[in-house]
Amino acid sequence: MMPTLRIVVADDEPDVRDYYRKILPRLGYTVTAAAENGEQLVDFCRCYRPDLVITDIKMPGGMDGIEAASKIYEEAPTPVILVSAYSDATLLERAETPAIMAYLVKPIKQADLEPAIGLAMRRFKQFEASRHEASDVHSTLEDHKDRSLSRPRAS
Amino acid sequence: MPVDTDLRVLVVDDDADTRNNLRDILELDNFQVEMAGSVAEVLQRHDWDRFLAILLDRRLPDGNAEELLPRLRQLAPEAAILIVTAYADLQDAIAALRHGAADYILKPINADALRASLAQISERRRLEERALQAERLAAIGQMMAGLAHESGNALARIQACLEMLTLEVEDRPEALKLIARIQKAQNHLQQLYSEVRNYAAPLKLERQMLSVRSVWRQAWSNLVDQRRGRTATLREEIANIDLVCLIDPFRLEQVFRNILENALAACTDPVEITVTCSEAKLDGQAALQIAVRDNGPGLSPEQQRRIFEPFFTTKTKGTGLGMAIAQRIVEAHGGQITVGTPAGTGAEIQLLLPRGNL
Repeated sequence: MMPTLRIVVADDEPDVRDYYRKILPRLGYTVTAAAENGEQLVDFCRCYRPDLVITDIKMPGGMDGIEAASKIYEEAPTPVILVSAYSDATLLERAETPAIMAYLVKPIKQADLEPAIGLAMRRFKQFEASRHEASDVHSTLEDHKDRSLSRPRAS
Repeated sequence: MPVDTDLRVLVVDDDADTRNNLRDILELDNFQVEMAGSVAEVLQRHDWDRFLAILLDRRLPDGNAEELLPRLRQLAPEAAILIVTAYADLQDAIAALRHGAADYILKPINADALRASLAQISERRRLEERALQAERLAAIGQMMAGLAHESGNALARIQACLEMLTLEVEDRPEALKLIARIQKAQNHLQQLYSEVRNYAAPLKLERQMLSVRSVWRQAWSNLVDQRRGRTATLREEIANIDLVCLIDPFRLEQVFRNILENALAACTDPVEITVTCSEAKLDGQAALQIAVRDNGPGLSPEQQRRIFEPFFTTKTKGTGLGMAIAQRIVEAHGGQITVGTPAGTGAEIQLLLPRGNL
């Protein structure tokens, strides 16, 4: 059996944090922590190294969900599902972090959450696989280069 | 030009013949005419509502127009003041214009000149009112957009609490039924707000050369939920004609969706919707005309006139934004959307789309 997915969530609304704490376990996931803002989210991710992050975009404080996602990605690539109160293309254009795997528009429902989590995890797996592949290719090339450089030259 | 019939005109003249003469002319044009013979009589009045104009004789026994003008402008700020003057006093009448009179009329009074002057005033008044109304609507629209925008978080909280409540009362079927009803209302509210948001959002087109046929077919196939359990067919009567235009397929699909949705709502089964296309010109450029006709009861004159007005609806559900959105999208394409006049019964909506860079 697969170990249960550990999720850190973030939303400035207590109602929505409570919701995640209640609903996600029913879908078989563990809510490791629930942050109120971007800074807290980054801290929690640093502490708990979750398998998935679900975060609101607009939160009070200096760091919104998109910036937090970038910061988390820099420290340890983690898949992120962004949640926003409305569909806003300009906000999403800012979301350059490759770890953003899905985007949900509020109000989110259990029926939306479940497939979005599945999709995000599958996409992230593929993403990680191709990232490893790329880094394997890269290191193979580097090896080649090193070897060809270190090969004694015929004088 | 027809004038608003419940408007009043005040005639101020010390000569009874002139007063009566003016009253006759004005009453023929359906104005309610009130009269006064002196400055004192004018100042005794209390009721100054709904005056379109005041016809003011330049010379009155107890004062002149120049003195009375500022007072009248206070008492009836909306009324246009016309100075009635003899030719000899024309210079003074013109001076009165500088003090806020709207126009002057020469004695002896020419009925046509008077009518023309009043028609112009009432037209100006109408335009001012329309501009004011537009301003008011814009303010309301902005407020609605703000409201719809800000509603997202509140709706999200309601949704979150509803689902949590569902867990609390899982063993109580009656309570669950009530929750389902709240959920339905919540979904409806969410739909309404999202339509208002869409209408308010800036429209950015991503256009490409594409067959319009693929767009209406997509719209029809996406209406599968609305067609479920209905007998409805979409017929295409297209001769040998090129259907490619420079369009944003996603936006244009919304146009067809709204038209087709209205047709489905208005018609009884079996519904038959027919799309026809023809070559056309728009501002001298090549264009494609598309007509979507249904076999329903057709549009009443009022519906025809108001169909593109935001918040106008004949349905019990919906925001009344569907056709307003459609118009906005078509116009963003440089096209036109109008109500057609089909030969038989049924409603017809016509689109005129410029071909784009051919």
